[in-house]
Amino acid sequence: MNREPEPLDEEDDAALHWAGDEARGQAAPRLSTAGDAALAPAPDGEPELEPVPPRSPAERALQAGTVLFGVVYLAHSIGWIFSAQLLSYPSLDLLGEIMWQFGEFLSMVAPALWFAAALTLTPDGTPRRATKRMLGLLAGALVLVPWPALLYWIGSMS
Amino acid sequence: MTETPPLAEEPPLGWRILLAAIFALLSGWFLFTATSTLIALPPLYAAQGFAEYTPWATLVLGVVVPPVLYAAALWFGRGRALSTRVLVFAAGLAATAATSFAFYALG
Repeated sequence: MNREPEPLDEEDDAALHWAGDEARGQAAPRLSTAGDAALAPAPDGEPELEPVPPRSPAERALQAGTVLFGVVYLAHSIGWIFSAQLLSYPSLDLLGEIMWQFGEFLSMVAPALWFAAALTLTPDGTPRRATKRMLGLLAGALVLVPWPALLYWIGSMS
Repeated sequence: MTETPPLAEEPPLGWRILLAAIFALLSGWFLFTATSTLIALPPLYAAQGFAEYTPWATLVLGVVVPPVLYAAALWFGRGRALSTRVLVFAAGLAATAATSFAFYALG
């Protein structure tokens, strides 16, 4: 049910204007209600908003695969954070020390960066998007295995 | 959908070269340390009488991986926006750092 818009006093009316509105043919206050969009006729030549179609099974599979890899990459990130605690710089020079610390930082963020890059490089509309994304994420999951922490855990268990 | 999405407008050549040079320098550091280790470590093992235990696989991979990942980042970033290129180069560099530590631990 739509109710009639309440009359606006002059102060309200002035507050809802920008300088130069009259010159642009926008003299009316910029008030809009939820019902306006439904009541207003669609301008000629402009397509109306279409309802979002439901996801296809392939899209759902891609989403599930991405989430699954997201969990793997999160585990890798945790593994690299532990790895950085285990590693110590084997030399004494300052530049080497700085780059070692920088490398440790990079190792910790590597899974997140690879994951973000894989998603950015396979946007909607990419040919064979699912295959490319899954291959990219699989390659990253294999390359970024946190071996220092993994070897430590294997050693401490045996 | 089979159409390739339109690629973002390419950044100016100067920016592309600068970005590639910065990440080449950073990747070069990991290549330099891996090469140094490849040159210095085998004689050290041999001097101690453990020449047969020299971790050749990890030493060689340590040298091969940085340029491969850099080249891959360069390839996948082509025709992309500057921000995407930065992300891809950063992912490649971070993976280079992670693999260098992995080879260090495995070696």
